Amino acid sequence: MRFIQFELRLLWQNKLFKWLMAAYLLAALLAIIWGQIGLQREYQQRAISEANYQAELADYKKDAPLAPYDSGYMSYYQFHPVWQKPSAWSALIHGERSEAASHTRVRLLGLQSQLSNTATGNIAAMPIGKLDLSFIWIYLMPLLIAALSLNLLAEEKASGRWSLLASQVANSGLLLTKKMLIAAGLLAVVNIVILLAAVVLTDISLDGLWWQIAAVLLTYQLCWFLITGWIISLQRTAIFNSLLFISLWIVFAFVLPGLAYLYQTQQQQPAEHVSMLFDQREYMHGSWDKDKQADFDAYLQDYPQWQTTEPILQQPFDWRWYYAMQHMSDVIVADAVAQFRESRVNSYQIGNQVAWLSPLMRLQYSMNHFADTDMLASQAFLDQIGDYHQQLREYFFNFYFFDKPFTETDFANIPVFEYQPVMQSHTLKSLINLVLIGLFFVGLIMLQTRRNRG
Amino acid sequence: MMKTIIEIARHELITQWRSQTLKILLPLLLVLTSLIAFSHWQQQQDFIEAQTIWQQQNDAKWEAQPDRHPHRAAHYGTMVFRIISPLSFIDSGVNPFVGNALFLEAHRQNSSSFKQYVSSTAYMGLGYLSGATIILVIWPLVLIALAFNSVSGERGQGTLRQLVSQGISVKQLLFGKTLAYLAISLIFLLVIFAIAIGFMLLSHVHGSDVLRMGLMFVLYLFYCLLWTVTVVLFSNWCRTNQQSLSALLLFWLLTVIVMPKMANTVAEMQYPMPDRAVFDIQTAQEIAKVGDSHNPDDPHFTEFREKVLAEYGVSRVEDLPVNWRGVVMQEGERITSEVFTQQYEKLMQIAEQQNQLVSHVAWFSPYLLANKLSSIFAATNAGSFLHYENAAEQFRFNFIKQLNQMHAEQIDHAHDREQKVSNEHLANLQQFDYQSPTLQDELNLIYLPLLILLGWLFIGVLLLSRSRNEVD
Repeated sequence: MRFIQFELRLLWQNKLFKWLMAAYLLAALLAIIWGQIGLQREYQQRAISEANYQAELADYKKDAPLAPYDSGYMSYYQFHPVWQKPSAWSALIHGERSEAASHTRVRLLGLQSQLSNTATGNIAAMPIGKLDLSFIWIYLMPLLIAALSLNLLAEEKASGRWSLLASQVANSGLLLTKKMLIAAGLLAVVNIVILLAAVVLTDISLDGLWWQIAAVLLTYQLCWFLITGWIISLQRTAIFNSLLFISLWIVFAFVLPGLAYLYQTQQQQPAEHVSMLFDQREYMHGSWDKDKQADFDAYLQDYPQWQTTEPILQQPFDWRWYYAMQHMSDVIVADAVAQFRESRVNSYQIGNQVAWLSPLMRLQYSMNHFADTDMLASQAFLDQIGDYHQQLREYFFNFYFFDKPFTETDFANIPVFEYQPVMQSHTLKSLINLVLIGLFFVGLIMLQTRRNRG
Repeated sequence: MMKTIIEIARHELITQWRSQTLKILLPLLLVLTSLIAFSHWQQQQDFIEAQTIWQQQNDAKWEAQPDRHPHRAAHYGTMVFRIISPLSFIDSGVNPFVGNALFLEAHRQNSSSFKQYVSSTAYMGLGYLSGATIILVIWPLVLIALAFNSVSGERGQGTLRQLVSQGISVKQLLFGKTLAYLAISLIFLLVIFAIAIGFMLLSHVHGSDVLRMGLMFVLYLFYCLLWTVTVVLFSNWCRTNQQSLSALLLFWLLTVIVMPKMANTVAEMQYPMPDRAVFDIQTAQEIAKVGDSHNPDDPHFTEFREKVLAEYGVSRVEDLPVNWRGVVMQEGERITSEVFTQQYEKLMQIAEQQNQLVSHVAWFSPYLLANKLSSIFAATNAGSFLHYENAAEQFRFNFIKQLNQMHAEQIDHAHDREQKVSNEHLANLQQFDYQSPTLQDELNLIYLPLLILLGWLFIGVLLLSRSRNEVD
């Protein structure tokens, strides 16, 4: 206990240590606040689209009940908002969220060409990227750990204190371990404070997820302390330690993720999914030049739920045929869409596999998954839009195919999109991965200690 | 004076040549960079080929389409495919982040989000893995690793005292060391560019691409010089090797990684952009404010009708020599296109405000400046993408305008929907012929960052030449 007190006092007198910790804490708090502002903006944008949606519907409602021809027109113009509602954690962990539009609108026309809308954003800023709390944790915390503990031994040696200390205690390695544990403990406390600050400053609550994230984060921290420990155990100069550490960091943070990306892209044909747009457009517009009645008959054959509709199309134009063809344009590209989905998920999985080799990548995959801001979430959003589009179709087709007027109460029953986050725990996997990497370095440390003695 | 400097540089190079660090780092980085450049070059060629084929397919489909009503053809629309710059394999710029296929049809300005690849770029937090990133982000670290102790080491070992007693000034020493590390950077860049030139020769090269590549080489060399001066200066200022290394690493971390990201984040806080849904809503609302072509009582279109009727001296739209629906269609298209362009420009103004804020921070981050210049030289900057989008929108407007003209002139108002125009008329429409901006067009973007970089170099050299002969 006295040892801890003594060490803590030593650390408190160390200016560099104080400044670094303060800078880390301050940067983290700023990142939390910025992230929360960003999240609130997303909610504001959603409120705008909802108000606009309700106003547009109210406009149509004034003319209710609408005859099927008019409500057919309504569906042509009426967009329905869809929103990948952000989790509270996405304020801290932005992940892949800005890579695709997370708030857009769909209407009853062919869905796939509507989904290829780009997100708005500052293109010039994209290659640089953003600073969020997850970046500080994932990329910068290892450097902080190095600054705090990498040269504990080398500095003590340089100052001449080490020989004195080592002569007084039987096991100098143990002393060093204790010193590192104290630094690690302090950083852990700061990280917990940051996590608690997040609870206060954002919508995050102190629930199971919070504990899981805290556990993964602290294991990551431990992992880097072990890496540092291994480097110290090599008993080389402070310079050597710094260079080795920075090389490792570059390999984990830059080389491995980069090579993973290169490998991911090598598995794909460039822009292979454009054919989806081609085919859908060809079908959609080709249908105007074909025998409309024959196409419509075929549609009724394929979709028995609409079979009891009036089989003869109205002339010169019938919404039933129009929406049926729009639907079919999605059906004929369904295979291409499935393939697109598969390449996305596949690419994600490859990255996730490579992440076994890098604690940094593992934490990032893990964090993005916790915050529901990864590729899986964005794909789930697309899948759910597909389901929602089907609900819309079934709801509105009911009026068009069975010639029902669209009354005031029917407005209230229009399906509403509600994003369901991906609920798939991977905490254990992340912990195992980080512990394995940690154990690998423990093995190296033990090997080295034996070598040092012998 | 000059002779001494060269002698010092030669000596430093020999020392480095024997050192472990250079022996490991230089070949490693050269292999990594070449590998990446090769792989990117190959992917770039595949992509250019794929885009060209898509474009041909699209054009062939347009020409082969059956006789159609012009408005149907306007909705059938056309696609244009952005061909990326042949220098993307060195600096990919914004290319991996943007969609490269645009679908152009009546009333709508669609950009498709289909990127070159579906993989996420979010996991490369330190920068997209490309030749430019290695040169601009990683090479400074190598320079730090090689040279952080170049002066502080001599001072620590007492060799500096010896040198000064031999009549060599610290100033000469610093310039000599700078020269040595510049030479190492030069070797690195020469090898990489030799390989890159090899790739370029395998594809079609224009004179302007050679010039751009030359400018990139000069820029990178200049950037390396700036870093070399920085490292040598820090090494001279710091008391110990460890101090010098820590200070340099911190400087690198702040100017290359933290400041650029922080600047972007703050800029985004300061000047928020509407998201896709809200942008679409705002555009639709602005269009509705001007006039709704589908509303028979719309004031704008009522006025427009009176004007057209007066122009032709008739009293009913049925008596017009042109098809009224086609005329209305074109007026609607004009409004949509104008409002969309306005709204889009507003969006781009917000982006510009953000970029302005970042460019203020860039005064203190040579990385941001060099990064910007590099992507301009490689024609992969955001501006080149926006230029393309803009040209495509103009093309779209003219394309649809011609179709609306056909609608007005070749389709009778009565039984409008049942009529078609011959495929020949459609096939005769001109296809998109895009001219990318030349370097001259972008001079105004280039000179300020260049001047700031030169300013930093000037300060650096000034500091080098002002160094005093402190030996301990």
